[in-house]
Amino acid sequence: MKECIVTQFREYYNNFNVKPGEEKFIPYHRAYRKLVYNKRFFPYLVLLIFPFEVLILLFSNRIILKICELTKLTLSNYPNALLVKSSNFLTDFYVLDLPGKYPSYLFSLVTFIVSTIGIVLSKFIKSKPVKLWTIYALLLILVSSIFFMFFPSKFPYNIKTFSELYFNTEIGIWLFVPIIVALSLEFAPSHFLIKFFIVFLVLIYSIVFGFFRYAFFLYVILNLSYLFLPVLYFVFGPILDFTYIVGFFSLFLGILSNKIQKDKRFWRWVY
Amino acid sequence: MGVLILRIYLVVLTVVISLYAIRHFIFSFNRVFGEQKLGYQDVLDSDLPTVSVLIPMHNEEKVAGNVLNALLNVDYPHEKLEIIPIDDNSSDGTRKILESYAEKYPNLIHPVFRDSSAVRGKPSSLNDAIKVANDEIIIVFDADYIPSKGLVRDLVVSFLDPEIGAVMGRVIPLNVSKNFLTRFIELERSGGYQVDQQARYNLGLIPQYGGTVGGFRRELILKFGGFDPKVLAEDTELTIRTYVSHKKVAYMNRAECYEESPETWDARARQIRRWSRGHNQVMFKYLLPLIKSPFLSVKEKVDGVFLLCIYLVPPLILFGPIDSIILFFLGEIQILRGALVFLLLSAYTTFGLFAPFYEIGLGAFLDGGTYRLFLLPFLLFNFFFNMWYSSLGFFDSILDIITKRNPTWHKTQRFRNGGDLDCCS
Repeated sequence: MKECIVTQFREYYNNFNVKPGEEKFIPYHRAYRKLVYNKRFFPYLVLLIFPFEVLILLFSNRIILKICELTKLTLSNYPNALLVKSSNFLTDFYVLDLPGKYPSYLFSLVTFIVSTIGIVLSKFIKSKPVKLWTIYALLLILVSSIFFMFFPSKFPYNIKTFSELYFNTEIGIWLFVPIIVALSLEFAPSHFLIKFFIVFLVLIYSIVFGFFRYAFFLYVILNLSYLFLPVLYFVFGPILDFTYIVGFFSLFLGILSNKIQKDKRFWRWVY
Repeated sequence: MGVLILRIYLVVLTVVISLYAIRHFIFSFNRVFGEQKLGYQDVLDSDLPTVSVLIPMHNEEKVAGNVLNALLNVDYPHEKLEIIPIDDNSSDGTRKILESYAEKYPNLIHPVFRDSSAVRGKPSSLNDAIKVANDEIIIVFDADYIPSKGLVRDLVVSFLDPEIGAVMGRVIPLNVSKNFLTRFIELERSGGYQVDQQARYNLGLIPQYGGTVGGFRRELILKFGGFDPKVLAEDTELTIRTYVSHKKVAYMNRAECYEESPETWDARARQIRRWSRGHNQVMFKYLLPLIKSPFLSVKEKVDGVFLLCIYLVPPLILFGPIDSIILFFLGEIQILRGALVFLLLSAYTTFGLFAPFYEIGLGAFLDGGTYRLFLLPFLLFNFFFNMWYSSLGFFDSILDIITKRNPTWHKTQRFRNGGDLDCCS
């Protein structure tokens, strides 16, 4: 009889894919379960943030220089590309400078017409979030094309000033990445070194991504004109950075959740 | 001068966003590591109060049978229970369904039928039903909800505490795997209930009565003179009025109830717009009474202000990029200060409109979610969507004040096929 009940229990747990040895742990109900608090939460948080902040503050100018040098290599068709000195209140740094392309009146007019048609046609996009994003991007192009049709000489940016804006934003992102990633990761019950590695990974990704995006932005500006600069900055700018930050976090948390859901060492009930 | 105003706006926006970000960090920390305040479900008392369960319905033939069957199955003593489905001038088969149930269970189900002469909408429907309800406690379910067997009891025992004026349970989407939208809604629900509501309850702040899977004392709402038919968020209104009347709202995280989430973006858009409009109506009406009330502690007042202003944030953020774009064309954003402000804006974008990504992720994590956590980055799509329709709701509420018009109630579309549902008993 006893054996029969045990077998039934085993079958019951097997239905829930519980591995041998885990049968004794009946998970707490989700309503009031919580995680074990690590007393080192805040010290670890500081350790996850502080070293990276120092590194960025010390080396951001060199990273920017490297990105600009690599970007310059990709612009081999533009021999007049120069590295010029710039600064912000944190550091001096070098950015690329070369003559950009201004749109002709005809190009602005055609872009205006195409973006207007695009906005009208976007009503056929079924997914509302995609539709809203599309309209947002097209509206930016529309406003930009109107600007260049009527006030082309008043456009306040050239490649140098745009590069300054871009890298000021990048420094901000690099400074924010460790803070945001560490804050979110520190809640997860995982080893400090793993979290440290993830913060490092996200930061490296951010720097590499920053290079590719800069090169892409310059390519567009040099080939298609300044008209697309606003849409590049406001649609493919910092917003994208935070998407991959969440991406890394969700990947980490999803994998961790798979591993520890049935491990009672990590869970507490109410207290 | 213009540029200065635009810059000040960005600074103010950054401050507002930062305050909400700090609030969400505190909530997440408390929910994940803090001591959890239990609900009252473990209280044993043979002398339970009498209960009227109200179910407002307008063209609910697809779901009416499901909710009534579930309520007939609850373990609350039937002699102390009364079920009042409210047919708000339906043009489909809802009336017939209710009549057949009333005929079959005359001692338990007492429907209220409202014709076209009555003011439509949930608040008016509830007012009519409260007039005929005889019991001390009112519990409300929307028609698409499937209460489990012990749910009514779990909610009602809270009222044994005389301090409690209203109670709220947890909403769990039933149709999660239908599409991306329903999965996103489930994630947002996890963050909202598992973390946000429970943390507010833990911290002695203001958990929100959500208008369904919850209830209130009949005498309390009668004291208020019923729900205001012009307010579309009668739930938020009741929450604030409860606190201003020296009562509290209890949140019962264990009292779970299944709901049907909207399955199309159109239905979701209308829902969010209505929530935002109603919530902002309440904000305009009750912000000062809340601050002035002698019955709320300072932390309750602070949380109340955050709660009331939550739907004010989307239009504020909507103007943020517009502001930034104007500054961009004026060449004013190239300073680091401007870039940082935009960064904060973007950070909040990723963090989500009503809860940051990690709060939503932790909610799903505590819920036992695994693969669905991989969907978190896609919440970015929701951000623009929520921001846009919440902002439209805000402008609706402004127009309501200016024109003094009567808002029309648009009910959420249902997607169930009308068949039997055996999911949650």
